[in-house]
Amino acid sequence: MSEKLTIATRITGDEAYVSLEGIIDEDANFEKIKSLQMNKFVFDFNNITMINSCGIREWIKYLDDINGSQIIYQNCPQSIIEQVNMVHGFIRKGIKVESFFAPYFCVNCDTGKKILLKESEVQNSKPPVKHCNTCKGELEFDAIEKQYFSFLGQGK
Amino acid sequence: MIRKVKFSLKYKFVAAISVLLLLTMGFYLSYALNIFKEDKAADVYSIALTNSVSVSERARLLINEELSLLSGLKESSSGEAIYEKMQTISRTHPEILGVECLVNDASYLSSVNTNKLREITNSDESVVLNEQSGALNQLKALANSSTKVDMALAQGFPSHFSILSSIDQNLRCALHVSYEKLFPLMSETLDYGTYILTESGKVFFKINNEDITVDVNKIVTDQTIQDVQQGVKKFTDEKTPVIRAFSRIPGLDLIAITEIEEQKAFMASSLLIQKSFYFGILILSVAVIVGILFTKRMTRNVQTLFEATTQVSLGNFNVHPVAEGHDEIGALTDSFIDMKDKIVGFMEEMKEKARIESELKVAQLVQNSFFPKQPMIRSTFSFDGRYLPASECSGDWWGFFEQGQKVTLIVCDATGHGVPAALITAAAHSCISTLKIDSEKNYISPSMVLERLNRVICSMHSEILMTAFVLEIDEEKNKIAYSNASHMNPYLLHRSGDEYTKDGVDPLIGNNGARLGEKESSVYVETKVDINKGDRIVMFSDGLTEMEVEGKAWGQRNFLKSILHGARKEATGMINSVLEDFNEHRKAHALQDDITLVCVSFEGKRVLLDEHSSDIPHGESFVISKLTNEKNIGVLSQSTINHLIGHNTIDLNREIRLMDKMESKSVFNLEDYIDESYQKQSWNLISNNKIKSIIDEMESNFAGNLSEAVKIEALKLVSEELLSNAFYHSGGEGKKIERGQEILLTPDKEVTYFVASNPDYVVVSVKGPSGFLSKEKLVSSILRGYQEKTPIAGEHGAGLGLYMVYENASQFWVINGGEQAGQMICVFEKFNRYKKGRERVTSFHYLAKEINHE
Repeated sequence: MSEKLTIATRITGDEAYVSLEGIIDEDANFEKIKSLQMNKFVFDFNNITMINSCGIREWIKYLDDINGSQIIYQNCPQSIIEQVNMVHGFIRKGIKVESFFAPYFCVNCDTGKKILLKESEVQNSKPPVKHCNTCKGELEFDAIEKQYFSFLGQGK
Repeated sequence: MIRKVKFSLKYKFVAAISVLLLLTMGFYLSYALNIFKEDKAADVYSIALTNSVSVSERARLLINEELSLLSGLKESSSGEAIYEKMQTISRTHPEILGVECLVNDASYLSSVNTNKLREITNSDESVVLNEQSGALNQLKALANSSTKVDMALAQGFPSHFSILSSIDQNLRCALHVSYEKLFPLMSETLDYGTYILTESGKVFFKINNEDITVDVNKIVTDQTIQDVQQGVKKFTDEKTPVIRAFSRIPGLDLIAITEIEEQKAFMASSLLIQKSFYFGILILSVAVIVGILFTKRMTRNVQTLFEATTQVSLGNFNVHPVAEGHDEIGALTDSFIDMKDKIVGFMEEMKEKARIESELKVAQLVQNSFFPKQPMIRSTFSFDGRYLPASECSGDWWGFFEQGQKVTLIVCDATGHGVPAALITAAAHSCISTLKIDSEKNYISPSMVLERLNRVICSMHSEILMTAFVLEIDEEKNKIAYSNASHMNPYLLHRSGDEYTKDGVDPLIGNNGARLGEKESSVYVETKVDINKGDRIVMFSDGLTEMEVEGKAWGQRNFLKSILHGARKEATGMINSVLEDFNEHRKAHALQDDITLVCVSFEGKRVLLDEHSSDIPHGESFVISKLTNEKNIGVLSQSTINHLIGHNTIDLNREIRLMDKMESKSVFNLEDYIDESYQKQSWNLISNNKIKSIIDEMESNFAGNLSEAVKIEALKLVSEELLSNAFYHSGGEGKKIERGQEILLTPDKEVTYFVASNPDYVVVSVKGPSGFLSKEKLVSSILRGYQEKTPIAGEHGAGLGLYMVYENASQFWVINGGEQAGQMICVFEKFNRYKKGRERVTSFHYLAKEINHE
């Protein structure tokens, strides 16, 4: 957790791909990506380990600065989805969560799995059917569907 | 009447094929050309960026090679030794034109590669490198431990660049290097203009000697290039669009640029698009002509086959196409018929298999719906049950129905297992559902339940029999009545002090009747027993005790030992404990018989909050709640109660016992909560700057010891929020400190962070130097989080921390020790499934008492 937030940006034309790593808290500094005049931002949250309450506030402020650009979130970890469901403002109207991790459970192997889902795979809060890599058995979705997928309605 | 053929099918087919081909080709060409154009654009961007990154990386390596020569000077003990090495460098490295060193900010040394300079200038005249003509001033101005690359700092030298480096505090050197060193970069041959710029806006090196017409100052001052390490985007230089990639050379203040005019980049693409278009038209024309020529002959057979395939695609497999001739179409038709017949056969098999699987799945689903979904918690007792089927369907069943203050529980076990046994349980379930309706008008006793069940099963004339046990709990009279139809005798456990021992086990063996279905005339008698607070009843099926692993059954002895071990818990906890022991015996073996286990725990009078509760409780020592966290916080904000326990706690009895224990003591001591089963660690902090490193340490010590429901991310979040809160409120509730600043406390006001873990729980505690104004203020802060779910505008903190902590924890304990001490404890229950953790209703405990500072 001692890792501070690091931001790696790669731009291609009018699109910025921003990979975030570490924790988003009150010390998070988005100055470098505030002034980029891009039509589209793709944020990769795969390596974000935590967002605390102050981090959420900082992120919401940052979203104000890039208002008007198309925004896409990719690879959102389970901990981020939990925060997003708890606190509003992280996903604004127009923001698309393209992919995110969801908890599944294999009853045969007695193990929890984190499966990367695409937004399009979830219809009416129904999780897609997934299979265990080890025993090939069908996995059970291991969260309360309506609660876990409630963030999908926030950007619409 | 048969209509006249005006436009024959053959011509229609030719026309249709022509139009179809036209449309297909047109669409395909347009689609493919579009993709090609996009792909080309991606290539141009990608090549430019790759080239720029490659030039940047290679330039860095070449310059670093030179820089490494200077590191040899560091070990030199004297000015003479340094000078000797400088001469060696300039003698042995043809690309080095000269070396300068400034020793101790006083002695200036220089060495020149005379041979190389003569060779380049083609003159015998010596070139001088001294304090005036060299880079002495730049060396003096060079910051400690820094490196700088600049253009031609040695006057009179031919084309070169200079590397300045502060090797240590006493030694600064300059290398004047011929641009020949960078010639290998010129192998990066592309149609793209590639060059390297200094941060100050000078052209440092041109890779392919193209004229640079653009104002390079504009490039280096561009905001994107200043903010981003590497990238590629479209720039507009004096109305000419240019695709420009840039990559910074780390540590050397240089930027590698690769660029190409947009028009030039896409010239090949435009040409290709144009040619593809003409070529497409040609192909289309040829295809249409050839199509027309061949259609006439092929139409008949193709039409036949086409119609047959259309029918098959519509699901009609009853087609028999006949094709004339011995060409490919004829062979294709035979092959189609063969394939169709095989598909039909295969589909029949699949259909049958799918039907059986689907029916079994439906049967399983239907049977699952026969079982109660949730444990039942009543004000004086609670019960819960589990069933584990040996195959898709089970021959065991348990359920209950209520008659006012009485609850009747039924446990059945049909002989054998699988579908036949499941059908009998379905009949039993249906019979009980009917009895449930009847009981609204007339009282149904346990013996009446068995008699009715017996009649139903006898009427089925099946060879399958069933054992059953019916237990009626009278909450008002604290009595039970039971009746048995040859089922395994349940156990009644009495508590002795705080313990359950074998002496307190009382099997319910009274009046055992015949199995259900044996004979219609069977009579069942009831036995009544008084019940006391602390009593437990365990009902089960024989699949549990008879489960054999490696020839050894689990047995009554182990089962009894297990229920005595788990009896201190409430019904759900007790079941979990017994099944944990059973699973240890079972390992990964498949079940040999269906298993049912139902436990009842009698607890004395308690207040239960659920959707039907209308009054806000006041004055009770605690309440048990089935409401959501948000509703519970709403109740707490209007009530005087200090303890609210989530109904689905992993061990209700333990939580109540601990709560009583904490309330009974005048001083709060965390050691009373944590016993020797815990792995524990604590940290004392006086600076908030240490929070992150301490949480890191906690992660490395505890991350391997969690469960599906307790994630390390949640522990870190809760720890961070509680610790930050303790520091930011360290001056008292009214005094808030700006976030991001260091807060340094005196040792007598340190914050104590404590984490403990055992197989069932993880405990996170934070003790700070200030207490809380009141329970009401604390609860209203959490309530705001639930209601608004957004940070407070303009606040120092986000104002969401406590809400997020409460939502994550299974138990939330707050100890208000007055103005000088406060402690918050979050307990996480280690459910084996994440979902169960999310369903857990958070318990709230508020204690206002002195805190032990030991």
